[in-house]
Amino acid sequence: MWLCRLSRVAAATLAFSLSVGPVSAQSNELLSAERDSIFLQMLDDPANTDLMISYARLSVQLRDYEAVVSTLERLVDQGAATPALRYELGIAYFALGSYELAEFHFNQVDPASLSAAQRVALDDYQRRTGRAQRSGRITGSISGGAVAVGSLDDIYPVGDARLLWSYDMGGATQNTWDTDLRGRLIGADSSDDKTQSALRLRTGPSIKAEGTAYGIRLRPYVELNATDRDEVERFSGALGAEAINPISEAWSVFADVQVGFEDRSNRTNGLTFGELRLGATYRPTRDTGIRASARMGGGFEDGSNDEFSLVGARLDLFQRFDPGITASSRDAELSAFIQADIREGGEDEGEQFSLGAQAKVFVYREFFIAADAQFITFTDGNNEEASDPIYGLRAGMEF
Amino acid sequence: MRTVFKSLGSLAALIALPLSAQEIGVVASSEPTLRGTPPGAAERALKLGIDVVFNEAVEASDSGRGQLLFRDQSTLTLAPNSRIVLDRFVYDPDQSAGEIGLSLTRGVLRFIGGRAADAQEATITTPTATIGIRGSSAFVQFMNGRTTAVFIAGEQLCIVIDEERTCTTRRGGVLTEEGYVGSIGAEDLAALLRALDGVPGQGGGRPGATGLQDQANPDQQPISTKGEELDIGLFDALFGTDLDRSLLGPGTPQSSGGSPMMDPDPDPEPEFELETPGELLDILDGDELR
Repeated sequence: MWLCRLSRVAAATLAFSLSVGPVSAQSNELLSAERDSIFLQMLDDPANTDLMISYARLSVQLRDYEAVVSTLERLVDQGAATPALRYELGIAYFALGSYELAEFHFNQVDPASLSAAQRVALDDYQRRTGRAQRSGRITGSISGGAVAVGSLDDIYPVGDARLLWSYDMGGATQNTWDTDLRGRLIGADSSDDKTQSALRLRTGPSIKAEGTAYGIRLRPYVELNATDRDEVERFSGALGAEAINPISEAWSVFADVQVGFEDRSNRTNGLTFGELRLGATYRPTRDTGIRASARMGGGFEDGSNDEFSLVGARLDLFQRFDPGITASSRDAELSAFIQADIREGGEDEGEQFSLGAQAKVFVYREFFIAADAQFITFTDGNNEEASDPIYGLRAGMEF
Repeated sequence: MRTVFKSLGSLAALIALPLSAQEIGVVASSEPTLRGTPPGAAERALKLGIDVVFNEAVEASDSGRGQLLFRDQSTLTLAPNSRIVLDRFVYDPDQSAGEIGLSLTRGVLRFIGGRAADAQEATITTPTATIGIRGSSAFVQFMNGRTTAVFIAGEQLCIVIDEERTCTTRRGGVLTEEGYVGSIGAEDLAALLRALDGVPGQGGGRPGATGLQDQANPDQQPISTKGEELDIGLFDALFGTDLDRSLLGPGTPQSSGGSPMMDPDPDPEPEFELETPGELLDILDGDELR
């Protein structure tokens, strides 16, 4: 059964990639040809603002923001320095990571000339441009709410926190030292004093391996995990390396390998483990993404012959959109996933299949509400099956 | 009337230029005018829409500014009191490949790379240094005998002094004859932009004309000049899945649920009632224990 589920996840990923990839490439070719045609007209009539706007619009669709910048700069230079153009020029520079230039242009914009939604977005952009220029930058989110398992009669409080501290290590290449922290706490209900928690910390330098602003990004890291679940406390430490290669505007591939040691409260000896994860992310647009990954790993209990192994696959889909009804400049997010894992040996032995979806909507500036639902089936090593839907509702903020 | 003047201007330019002159771009803005000197020809006014040719010297007066749009979609902006020579331009539109190079002998320019600079570095030569711009945008200044280059966006900006090459990928990073010297300050940046763009203006507008506001968002990661974007969700993707599974608790045969958090006694001792002696043998054979 597990093979069937894994195959389904893999087949869905492959079919989606094969069908969407060529369509997107074809669409880009058409857009590119149309833009080239407009460019030739621009050479004959360089003062034609309609042509320039069309060229910029097609460049936005092609994710060629440098061409957007050059066109908007020309419009500004030709005297059309309208608030909207300055605002868009600031956005284009922000998107390219040129925060100093973005700040300059945002500061030229008179907020009174913008719509209410644009003013909220401008305020958000300006706060972020200031923060992005600091050597140490902290971003993250915190949320709280409840989860219900199986039915709405069994409800547990839940807290979730995410923190990323990115420290600019200076120098000409702007490598950073990134520290990710993620925690989750599920509290007890009135009939049970048990709580479950997980905390993960990953820290290490993020290095531009090719010496260019983009291209392969390498991140050797140290990872620490502390988990309290199933009445067992687990602490682990691992050394690993992550590589991300954004190979085109649509595709990026990644690999993550780690080896480590885990100590469990119910065992005398520790566990040595290793895991390899490979995957690819496909973005037909900036707002749409599909990530497929596979992982395999294994380990053994020190001082014994007990071995365990893991193989798994996961497919993530995410879509951002502007709901147009909230007082926030941030897009709403829809995401869904399918995951299948098979563990052999050890106390976690079993097959797990889960699928879920989440909707996250920013209701006011950085404050959001997130609702999720997932269905998990777990068949343990004794062929005993447990399955239930889990529903969650959280409110929180990003910073 | 404007078209007639433009046509007459183009005709005059054609007459003045040698037949071999290669048109490599066009004047896309000029305030009030730029001056150009094509190779082997007299100086001319470079008004809006006039073609510029290979090896042409282009000069902005003390009050002049302008933009050139090249056939590979690169853009060059000249600040007042600047002078350049367009001394290298090769572009094959079918292959989207080529080379672009120019000399800056005085003043300030902004170069925003097009297709030729994607595959091959665009070079800007000053009397003291050679600047290499790959898939990128940059400011370059040569004043008082010193070269300063500022990386705006893209892949990489390099400076070569006496065959020693120093590069930066830091947006706002500054390169001089001394190599990388840090990031540009807000005041220096504003001064550069004032020189290139003139005094910032306000006026009417066409909000959302390019669609950029719909596609870009304050909480997105920076995008490369080729549209590449890092996937930052990798760390989160697998977090918490084991914790969620633990909510289900240990499984029970053909059960749904059975969480220890929901069930105060998750592993009750099985109760057997033997009805026949043979049943005990079946259990010991493992039939009931699988």
